[in-house]
Amino acid sequence: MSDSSAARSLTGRARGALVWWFAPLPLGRVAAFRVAAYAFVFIDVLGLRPWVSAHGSVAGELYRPLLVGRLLHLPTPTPLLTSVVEIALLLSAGAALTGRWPRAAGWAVFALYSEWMVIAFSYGKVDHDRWAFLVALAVLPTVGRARLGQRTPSDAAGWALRCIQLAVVATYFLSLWAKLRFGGFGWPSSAVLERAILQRGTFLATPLLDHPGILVAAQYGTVIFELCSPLLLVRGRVGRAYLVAAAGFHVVTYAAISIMFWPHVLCLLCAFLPLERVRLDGAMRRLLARPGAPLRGG
Amino acid sequence: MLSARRRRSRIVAGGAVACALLAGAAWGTADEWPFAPFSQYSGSAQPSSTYSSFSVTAIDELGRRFSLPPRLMGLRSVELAEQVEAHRTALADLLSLLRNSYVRLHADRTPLRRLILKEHVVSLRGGRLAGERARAIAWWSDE
Repeated sequence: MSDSSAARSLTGRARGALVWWFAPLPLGRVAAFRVAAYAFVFIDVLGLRPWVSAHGSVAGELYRPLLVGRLLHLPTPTPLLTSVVEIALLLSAGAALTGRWPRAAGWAVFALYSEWMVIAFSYGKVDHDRWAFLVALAVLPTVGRARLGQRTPSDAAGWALRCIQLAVVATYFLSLWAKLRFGGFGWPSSAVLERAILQRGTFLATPLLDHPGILVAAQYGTVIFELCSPLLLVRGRVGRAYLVAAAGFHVVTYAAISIMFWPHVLCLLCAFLPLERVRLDGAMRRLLARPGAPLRGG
Repeated sequence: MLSARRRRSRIVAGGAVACALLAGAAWGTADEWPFAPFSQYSGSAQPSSTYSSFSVTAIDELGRRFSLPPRLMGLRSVELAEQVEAHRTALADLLSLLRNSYVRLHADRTPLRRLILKEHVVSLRGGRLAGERARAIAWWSDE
């Protein structure tokens, strides 16, 4: 192949990738995603991770700010600071949930949730189930107005949803990369699951401690599952099959070691399922509609 | 329909974030979050090896002895383990700080007189549990 034809081929592929990235998707999916994401903020802050606000009461000497916290000179958490961030975050999420100010409220949620995560992860442990959700909070405000059930295709919605889809795939694929980087090629045959079950195994998984071979097979299965994660982006039966497999993977993980990557699973389901087809008649639409105004959301 | 300018800005922003993510995955550490490697459960535990976890036992003013879960001091278990590693040379000071955190979170409870940090070492042999032992590695007392 000559240089010029190779360049043409490369340009063609880049153009194809851009066409895919901006391919229009229904605005209704963005509206449904917003409802799920902003409602999840309440569940996360108040239910799943109450320990984040407790970090405000931890002795300041134990605060080990992340790089982003040091660069932005974010203050050491105190009870007052965590309360202010928590209340502001919930108010913003509530405002975003109504759909009145999709951009302003959405950006506020993104900024405040990011600070909430800095408070969460600055005491020695960083979780990696937040990446796709953070991307979602960053891109959802860029779409502007959208309403539930709206089938109108939009390239802004397409770009935003593709970004979240890519973030979901990146989470799986780069998890595999991290296993190779930190655990080496011996990771699949190591005793990682054995250790995880000893530390936090459920009654369903504990009997497997006597069968290390099954656990090693599960680790090989995890590697194959993560390696194949780009299949999520394939249209049709292949993508749908991987989506079902991914949902199953998370259910089994939860059943075995009681770990559920909630925000990641939310992004997995909301970015890939055709939520615009879900009819949210009745209470939800009335709740999100301005009294006396036409039904509008997002 | 997005204008050419808006489309360009999205391409640039998306590309920049993707580059940062890939760089973080390749060379970064947890410190670079949100562009940190996805390292949860990525370490390799050898089938024949040991690993440690930590717990805190408290004795209050009434002489009652009880286990103090990390969440009562505002931390997760794994954060306690990380803090222990970071304060290896000053574990009594760490216990003092943990006690302060407990007081801030539970001012209504009976004051603590003494804290004991224990290390639990679990041994694996051939991928099976081979043994577990615990030993006290640090103390704090208000006396």
